[in-house]
Amino acid sequence: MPPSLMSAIHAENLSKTFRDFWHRPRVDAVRSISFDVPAGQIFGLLGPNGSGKSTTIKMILGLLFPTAGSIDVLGASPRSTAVKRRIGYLPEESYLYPHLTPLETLTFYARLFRLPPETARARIDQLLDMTGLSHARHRPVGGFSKGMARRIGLAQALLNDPDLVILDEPTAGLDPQGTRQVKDLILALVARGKTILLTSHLLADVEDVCHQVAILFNGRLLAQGTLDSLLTLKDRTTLTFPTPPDPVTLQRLLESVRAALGADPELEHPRQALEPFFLQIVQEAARRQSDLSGAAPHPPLAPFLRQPNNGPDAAPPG
Amino acid sequence: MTRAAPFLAIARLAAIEAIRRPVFLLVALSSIAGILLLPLLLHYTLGDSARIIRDSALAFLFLGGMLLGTHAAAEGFSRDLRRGTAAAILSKPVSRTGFFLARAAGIAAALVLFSLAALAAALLAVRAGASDLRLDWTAELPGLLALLAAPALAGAWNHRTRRPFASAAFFLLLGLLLLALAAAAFFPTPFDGLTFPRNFAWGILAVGFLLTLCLAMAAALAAALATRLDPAPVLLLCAVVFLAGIAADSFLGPRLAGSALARTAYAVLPNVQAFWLVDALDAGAVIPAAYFLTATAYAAAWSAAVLAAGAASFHRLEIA
Repeated sequence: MPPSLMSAIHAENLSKTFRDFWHRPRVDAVRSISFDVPAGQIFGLLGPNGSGKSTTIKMILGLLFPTAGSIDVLGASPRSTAVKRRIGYLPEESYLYPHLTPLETLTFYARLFRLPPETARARIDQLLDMTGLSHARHRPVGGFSKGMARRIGLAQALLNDPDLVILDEPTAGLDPQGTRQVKDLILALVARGKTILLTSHLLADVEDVCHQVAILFNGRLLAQGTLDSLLTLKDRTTLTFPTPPDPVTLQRLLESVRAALGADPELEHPRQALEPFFLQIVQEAARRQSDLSGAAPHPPLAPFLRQPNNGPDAAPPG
Repeated sequence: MTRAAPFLAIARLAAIEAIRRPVFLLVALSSIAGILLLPLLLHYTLGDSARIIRDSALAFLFLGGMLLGTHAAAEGFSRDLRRGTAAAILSKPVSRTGFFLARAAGIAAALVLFSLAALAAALLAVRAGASDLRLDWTAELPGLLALLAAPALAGAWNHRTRRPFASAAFFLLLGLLLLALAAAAFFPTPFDGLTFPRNFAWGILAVGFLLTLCLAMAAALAAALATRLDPAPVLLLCAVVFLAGIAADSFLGPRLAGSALARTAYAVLPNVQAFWLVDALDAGAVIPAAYFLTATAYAAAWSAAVLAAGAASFHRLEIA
């Protein structure tokens, strides 16, 4: 089977019921959902609060155990430590030890992956540069803003150059620059053949990057498919052309459409998106100002994340 | 990087996190202050001051260590689960058993450091209070200076570097107490002119070692219970089990012959009395090496059994 058609994650009739102290069912968090996350694609898991997204992710990571159904991650049980060597996980909250600095935090995680010291040092430097936190590498993370803590969380998720990256609300707490950077990073990772599973409340972000989405509500899977198959309005067509030099020409164009289709066309001037407009203004300002205390703007992608995909090169198990 | 690297990284972090908690510094400072102040408080005890100071110092070590070990094991574990750091670590290639055992090892390491500081203070205090009528200031003063200087220096370091105060104060306290011990070793005792190594009651270290084994057993029990219970019930259960262990000889001893239940309880409860050998010091006896080996093996076997139960419990724990 070609890699693009293989499943990085395969869930079948997956259910999770949380129980109380007496083992009585308390809440059905996930109810018999089945889905496949194709390898090398970006898959979005969407849903309102309490819909079962985080529970599903924790089952994928082997932190919670399914009540029923089965789940395979990279072809093995989610509890396998060999599989976890190939996964990068950004939790919904950036779970960090507040007294550790970014450097200590990343060094700690590098040891969990048994990365050779030189590789660990190089990657940590690159990731700190990429997340714009090189200047704060010796500050305890307990004093960081939510956005800065998120960046450290992102750095630890990429330390092992994972094959499967699971991002739970990756843009939560980030400013628009950080959000754009995360989206660019996701696209760069997938261009290297990585698989991304992400959840987000920010539907515009999901729409920008995802190939496929699944929508959960109350533990049930309501819709699943590619964005094109789910979102394209097949009975509508948009035609964009330069604004005519005078109203008469425009009226003639509208008349011809009306005559051809027998319906009134809608007329509007397209707007550019707010995100690129905002980023352009902020980057202009940042170029003029050098003393920044927060995360540095437009930092580069870590070089090891630009290399051809060789899979995670942490020490092999055994 | 070796296979042990993740284990060592988690153990080291657990130890540092425990030592960085303000409650750790508070209990350590209180215990060591209590030990160092004993010679100033105990006078005219009819020739018993050295014994009373020694027994009280070891009691401070035992009670302080018991509180620190059980609290650090229970609260630290619970905090890791609550704060999500356990989930973050277990999403990496770390087995649950490895994580649980590494955390317990880290807490044991923190306890050993506390015991080391308390024993250094005990050696200084026992020497300072060896006479009923006069203090040996060559031992008392360096100890008190270490006690006062450690928080002051840690405060200055914290102000300068913004690094955690509590761990800095504890490590400074440990270092300065060892320095104080080394400094006092150069002076002979003022009453009988004893010089190093006879100017310290080194026998305390033997009992201190056994007590540290007992503290490690308590920390192991707390770690195992913390996989299912909140810190408050863990502390309560540990206190009950170890109090029962202390009283086991008098309560269960007479019933051992006739009751299988008593025999089982006696075997399961930690035999705390076996680790409290202060009376042997009174008699001037030397504790034989075989006893240390037996006690160490008992503590290791008891802790291993408790930790195995804890690891099995943690293996099935859902980390939400």
